[in-house]
Amino acid sequence: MALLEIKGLKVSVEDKEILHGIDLSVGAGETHVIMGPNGAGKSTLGFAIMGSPEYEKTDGTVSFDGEDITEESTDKIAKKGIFLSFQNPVEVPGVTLSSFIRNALEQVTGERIRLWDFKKKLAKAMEALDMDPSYAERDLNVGFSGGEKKKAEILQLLMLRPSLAILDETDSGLDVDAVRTVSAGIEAYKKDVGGALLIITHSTKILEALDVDRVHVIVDGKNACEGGRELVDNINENGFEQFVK
Amino acid sequence: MEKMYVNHLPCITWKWLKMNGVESSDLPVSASRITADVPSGWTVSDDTAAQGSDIAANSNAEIEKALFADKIVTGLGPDMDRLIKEADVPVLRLTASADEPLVIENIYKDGDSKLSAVEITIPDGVDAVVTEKFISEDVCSDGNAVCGFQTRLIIGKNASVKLDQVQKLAKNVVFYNDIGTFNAENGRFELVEVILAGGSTYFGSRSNLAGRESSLDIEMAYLVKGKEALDSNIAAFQRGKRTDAQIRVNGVLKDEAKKLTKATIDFKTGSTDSVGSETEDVLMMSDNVVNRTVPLILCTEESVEGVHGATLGRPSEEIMTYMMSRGLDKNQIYDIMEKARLDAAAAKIHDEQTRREIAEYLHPGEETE
Amino acid sequence: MKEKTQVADIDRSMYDFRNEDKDAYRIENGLTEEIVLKLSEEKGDPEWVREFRLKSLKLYNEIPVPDWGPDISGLNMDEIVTYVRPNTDMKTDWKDVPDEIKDTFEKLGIPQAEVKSLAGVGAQYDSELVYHNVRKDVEEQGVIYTDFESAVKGEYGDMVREHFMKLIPPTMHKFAALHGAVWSGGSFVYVPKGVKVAIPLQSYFRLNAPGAGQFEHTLIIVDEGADLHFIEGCSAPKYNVANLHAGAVEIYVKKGARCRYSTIENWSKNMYNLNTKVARVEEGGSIEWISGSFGSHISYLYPTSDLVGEGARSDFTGIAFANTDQNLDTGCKVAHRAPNTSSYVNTRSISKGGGVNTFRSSVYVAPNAKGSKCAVSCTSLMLDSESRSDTIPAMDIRTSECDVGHEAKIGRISDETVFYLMSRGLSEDEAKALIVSGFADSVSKELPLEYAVEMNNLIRLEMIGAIG
Repeated sequence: MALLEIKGLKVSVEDKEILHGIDLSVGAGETHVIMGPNGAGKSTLGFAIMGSPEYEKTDGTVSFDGEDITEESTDKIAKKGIFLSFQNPVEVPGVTLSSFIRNALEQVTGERIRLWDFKKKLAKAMEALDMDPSYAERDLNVGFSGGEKKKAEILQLLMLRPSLAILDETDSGLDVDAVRTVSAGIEAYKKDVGGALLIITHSTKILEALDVDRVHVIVDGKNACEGGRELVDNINENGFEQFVK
Repeated sequence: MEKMYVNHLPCITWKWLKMNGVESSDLPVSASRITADVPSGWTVSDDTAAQGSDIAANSNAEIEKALFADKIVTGLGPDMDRLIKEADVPVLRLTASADEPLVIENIYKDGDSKLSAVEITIPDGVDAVVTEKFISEDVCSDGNAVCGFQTRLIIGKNASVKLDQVQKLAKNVVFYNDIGTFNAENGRFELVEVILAGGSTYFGSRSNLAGRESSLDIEMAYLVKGKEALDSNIAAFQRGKRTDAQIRVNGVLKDEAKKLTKATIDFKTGSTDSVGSETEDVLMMSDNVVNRTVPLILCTEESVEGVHGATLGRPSEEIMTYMMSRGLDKNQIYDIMEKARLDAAAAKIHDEQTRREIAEYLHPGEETE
Repeated sequence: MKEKTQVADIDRSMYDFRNEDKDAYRIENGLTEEIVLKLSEEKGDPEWVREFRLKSLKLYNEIPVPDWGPDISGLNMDEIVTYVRPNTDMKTDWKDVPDEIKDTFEKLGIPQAEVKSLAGVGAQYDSELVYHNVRKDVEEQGVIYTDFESAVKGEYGDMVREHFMKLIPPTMHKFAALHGAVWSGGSFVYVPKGVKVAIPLQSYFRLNAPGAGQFEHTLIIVDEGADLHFIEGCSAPKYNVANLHAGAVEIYVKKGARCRYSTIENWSKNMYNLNTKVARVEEGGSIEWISGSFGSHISYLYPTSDLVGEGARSDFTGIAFANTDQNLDTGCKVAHRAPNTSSYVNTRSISKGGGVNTFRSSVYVAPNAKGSKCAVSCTSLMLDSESRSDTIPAMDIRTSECDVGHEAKIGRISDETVFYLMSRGLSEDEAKALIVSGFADSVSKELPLEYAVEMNNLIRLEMIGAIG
């Protein structure tokens, strides 16, 4: 049984249909990549899986771990083990990164966590991501650079340990060093947590160090093509035009 | 009528501040018919009877009720309507066309006590331009005059009106300048208000943003000097969804000038996704001026965004140092900054002739345009 | 399912429990000269206090009810009991306080806080102080912290008389006049020249009797170069009849002195909180107001800073949370009346469930206040469209040589932020509570830790409801 199973999913935003019936199946621990030109509906898929109320599912189903989560609320979906890394993480004034992660961790695990243990773990994870420790006590994403915001997302991924991580354009807008650090963080997640990955991207830099199991190409809100890693190289050479009908 | 109470603050505050409204007994009494060259595309109605908002009480609750009933309530308030009715002022009632702009020029003389009113309907889809000038025959005179002018604008669906007003009155003139608008769906009201001179000015403008996506954009600049006084009341009543109110006030106070600015954005329940913003920037050129401001944001709707900002005082040290390093002395810098504010607003006026007149007043002897 | 929270869970019963009325003496309802005289006699006032009460009562009857703020017609003075004496004298040891009253304060955590983090505590139950104590080392520094009645009659009598109701004269407004007529209880604090009180003093006001009024008077004098942090706490159980709080706080900050006055107000939601606070700040002195308004049915509260000495400074940090059936009219007043004075105002308000918040302020800069600075910033959060939030700031500037800035913002919690937090596993309520706590952070970080925690608890209580 697949970990994530999407069947015939149609999604509308403000009454405009963006996804016209998507099928997708991701097994536990697998790494899948979703590619496609701008405006194809890739990010929509991420938000729809996560149950954003702005993205209305008009048809089809999303199941996770054998349970239908099509109509589930976002927090319940997160508690079941799905994590969405945002392309543009939101700024939350007055709430520090550290207290937020602790709060979320307690929600997801349903257990209280001793402050001391938490701080140690957090410091370790931040070090691995080459993050300045002072960021822990700064307000969540407030005044963070683009790179720091992405690192803060990966930090949450490492701390929350979901069984499926959806990474929405995590590498966009980053310089070479930051991409390397973020990639290292994703590798650490694969190694330590062994979770599945669904990587939404239109570039391929971030994929270099990863074992990709399956590549899905989405064009105009529909599955256009599916294949193995070789599809990435094909797209690098020939672009998306070949899939546009 | 012996007295009228004008420029009500839409939500009152401590009485000792004396900002809730003004009582005045200097009232214009003689009805005055507006003479203007009405462009050929515009139509003039035979009906000259004053309408008024018919609000019995001068209370904010009554004003609000009238606004919800799609009435126009002007910025000065119901007493101005009453005064116009009592004096039996013949209202110039027009229907606008997009072809040509309308210019109404009011020249006031010493001893005048004129009261006039205009009501313009802007039909659906029409974009109209109107210029109104309030000018003393001799701006240097020290003769007395008490005058009033009311503009009512009924803005249709997808229609817009750009109203430019210029005031240049002598130092002993009391003037009531009153505006009220009703904005239907996507009806847009743009006002450029330039106040260059006038003894005692009561200025009020209220917009009933009833229609969805209707909007208001006010750019006001004033120069108050000598012993002049200015009391302004600007209000946006935001009822429709996605309405937009932008109010920008820039002013200069000199000598012993007195100024009170009231500006209100009022988000009513149902004005979902509306925005409103009000800013005031006042340059105080003397230590004997009185600079008072009360900017209100009233809100009973969750899904809105309102902001207000004000800076009151003198130019920052940085600006002074920078400009002095370019060889200007303090007085020259103040002069430049004063005129820059008024020039900026004047540049937005559509009528070229009016623009030139302002430039000549502000920069006498200089080459203009 | 029991909710998990980061801070200790609380439930409403923490504030809402009530004790049976076993007061020793309760004056009849209403307000007449006869009642005021009786109250005066009961309290054993000196002559001048009695005269003052009668003069104030006259003013009270003359001054009209304010018509610019929230409606207070639900408050019928004929039904308010102005004086309720608890069944005990004032004690200086918690052991001696009657069990029932001691219990009340223990539930509110006052004795525990005294041991941990306070330099002195005063506890008022209805109209009288029931407990007053100050730490020995603080007393040895020469700090006077005593109940107001002893101060009036004791060795500081002249000092008290010289300062009493001079900043808040009974002519100020109707409820200042009322206070002048029926005041009872409260504290007198004197910090001598140069003395820095390292940890805070606290007064806690508990109104237990239904239909009663509390009219305590707090007079604080911080002498030249001295430093004090004073904390005021208040609560009451909920009754179906109107209760009234019309206290007065007068603070004299002398040359180079500093006073911080913190309040977490959590009156029950049948309370009319018509409190008046004024500080007069001399040369180089500073007043810092920290004000959290969570309770009461109606509030009128505008701490006032009168900056009379060169370089005097005022900081006001306030938060107001109005929920169902609450109308909180709060803000501040600042008068810059000397050169180079400065004031900073930073407020936050949250409106929910039909609650009404009004931020009302006035800033005055006098012609001689050259070189002064003032920055006002207020932000309001609307959590639904049944609620209301109004911002009414007035400014009156009389010199060009000053720098006055004002900004106000009103808005909502963005759906995007809620979704982001929910995607990390927080429920919608949790997410909103967290955002609101973050919104209130600029105030809570100004408070001592225990009070910051209490404030966060109050926010959670209003956002998520009773827990545990």
